[in-house]
Amino acid sequence: MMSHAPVFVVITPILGALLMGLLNPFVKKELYRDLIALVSLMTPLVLMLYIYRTDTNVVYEMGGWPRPYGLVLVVDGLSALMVLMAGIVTVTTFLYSLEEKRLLPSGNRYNFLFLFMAAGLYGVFMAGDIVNRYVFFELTIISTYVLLTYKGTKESLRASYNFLIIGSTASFFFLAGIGLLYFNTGFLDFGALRGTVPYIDQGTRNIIFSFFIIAIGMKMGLIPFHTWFSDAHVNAPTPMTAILAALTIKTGLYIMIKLFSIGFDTLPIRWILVFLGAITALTGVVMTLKYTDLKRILAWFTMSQMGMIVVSIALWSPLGIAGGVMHLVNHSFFIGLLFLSCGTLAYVHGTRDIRELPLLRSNILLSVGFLIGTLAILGIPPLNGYYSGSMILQASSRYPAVYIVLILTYLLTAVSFFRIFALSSGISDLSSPPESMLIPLVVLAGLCVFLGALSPLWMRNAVFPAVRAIQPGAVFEGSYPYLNIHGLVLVVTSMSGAFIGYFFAPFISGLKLEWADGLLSRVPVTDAIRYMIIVMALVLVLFTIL
Amino acid sequence: MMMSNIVRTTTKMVSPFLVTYSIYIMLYGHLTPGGGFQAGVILAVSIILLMTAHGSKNLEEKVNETWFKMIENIMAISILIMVSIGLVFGAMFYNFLHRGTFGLPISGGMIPLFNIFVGLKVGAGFMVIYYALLRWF
Repeated sequence: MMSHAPVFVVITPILGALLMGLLNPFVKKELYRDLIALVSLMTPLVLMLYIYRTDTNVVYEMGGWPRPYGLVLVVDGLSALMVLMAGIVTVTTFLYSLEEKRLLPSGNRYNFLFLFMAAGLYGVFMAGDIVNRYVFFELTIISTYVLLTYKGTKESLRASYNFLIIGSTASFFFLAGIGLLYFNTGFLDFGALRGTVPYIDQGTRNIIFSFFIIAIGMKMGLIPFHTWFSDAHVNAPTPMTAILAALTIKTGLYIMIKLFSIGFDTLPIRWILVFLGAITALTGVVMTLKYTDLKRILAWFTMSQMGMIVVSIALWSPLGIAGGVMHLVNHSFFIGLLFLSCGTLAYVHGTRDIRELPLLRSNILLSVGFLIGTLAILGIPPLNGYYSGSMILQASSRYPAVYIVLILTYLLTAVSFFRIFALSSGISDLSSPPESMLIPLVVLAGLCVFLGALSPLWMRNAVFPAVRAIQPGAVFEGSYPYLNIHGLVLVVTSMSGAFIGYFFAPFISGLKLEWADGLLSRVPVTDAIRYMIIVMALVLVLFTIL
Repeated sequence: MMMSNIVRTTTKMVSPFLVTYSIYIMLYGHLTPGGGFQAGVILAVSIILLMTAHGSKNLEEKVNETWFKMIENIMAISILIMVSIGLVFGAMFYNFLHRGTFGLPISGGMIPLFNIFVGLKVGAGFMVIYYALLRWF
């Protein structure tokens, strides 16, 4: 019976959601509904842990139909890692939302949509063919559109509407790309595509990828496709922001990795993604220097970190992929921690403005949680951002321009974070938020410390198998010690950035960055879609020139 | 709001045929073009026609939104259960019923059952959407 475990990872949240819909008129007590939801969110995590312990190369054939024609669920090193990450983050954020849900005006459909979103996430990570991946992604994102509007304010409706229009356009392009892929190869299964895509001629392959680039760019929030990004994050309820930043945008990255692995890893394609990623990394962090809304600052940080991961993976060396995948997992834990502690701070103090938030003089768990998240994002040694950050730097050290951009990103990240600490003031309030809000913070902070301390260990035992699932013959030379020269560069950069940020905070806040705001974040939907199509055309032109 | 006598009479005459047609598409989904989804849409249309012609207020005690919600949920769960029975025979979605001879109405194992469940689910789902839109008026 346990050989059927992969399918239950996807099915259980759906079953839970449907039970919720069926029992809604009869079960009036909120506690029972939350229990059903919690159980159906915990089950996939437990099942995946079981699968991961026994065998990490499972192909589950639906209905007994074999691989290139049937639908399959694949559990390899990478997807197992992703599902485990998704499981931990969904369970913790759901625990968090037990309290936050009571503040929302229409909370009774929240569990239903949340479960469908979780099922979609697991599906994206495990589906073995590209159409199912698309379908599961739509399942996730349609639930997300609704969940983003749960505050019921005008801004949240507008943000969700922008996201809806841009997301639907991107999905349309993705579907067109899938159609072209099928037309040229005759397969949709990733295993079969891996063998056939390299034989498509270069021009056609580039055209197909220029369709995909809109879809994955929009999902990841790369620069010309990012206009929905900060508004959607800011106006969503806190748990949804955490899910969006920690998991939903990672699905775009995962699809990018898969596309690269089936044969879209030729040179012009990769350099375009490195270029877009580097711009995103730098611009995202520059934008954080001007805001005072903590949640908006964190949203732009998410974008910049995603840019870094994209750069690292698009370099497509085994080390680059390993660093990128590891940073992806680490990022989802520390950004989840940061967003959840930001939400809890706002819950306790009633504001998100950093000038009125006593960040380090709140409840001890809250302050320490926020500090751990900050130090993890800056890459300070005992925490998890350090090792993966140093791996990314090491992978990019062969390309000086990329290296400088990444160092600058880290410097500005530190500047921006310590500007927040310097500006934060307000009346110290040590009152404790409810336990259901603190437990997720403790779990995620514990994971940050734990995974950070054991970095080389789980790098070798979990991340390297994940890379070998993408690049079957990947070889890792060298021992990758915990304390290495790139790590030292990273720590020195972050420290100096921290000093600059702390002592020049008023000067930095006085910088005039309004032009960047007009160009980057307050873009109407029609213009955003026009940007997307223009960029696609530019990419096509670039491909023909190169 | 009730529409004119002509519309009411016509919809009354048309809607049984629509129901028959949808049942045909549902039951022959595995042999002819069509299937559960299309049948469900036609089924929903036949009810929506009656409701728009006669006014949704007048039909309140005959058709009810909660029924449709229940039908949709029950059908979705039945699909999941039916699909899970395949686990006993080897895999999820395994076609465990007798396949029969090709071309006959009862053949294809569980595909006709699948079509029926999907048809009812989609029909009920469209009705729920219709009710949601109706609330704006």
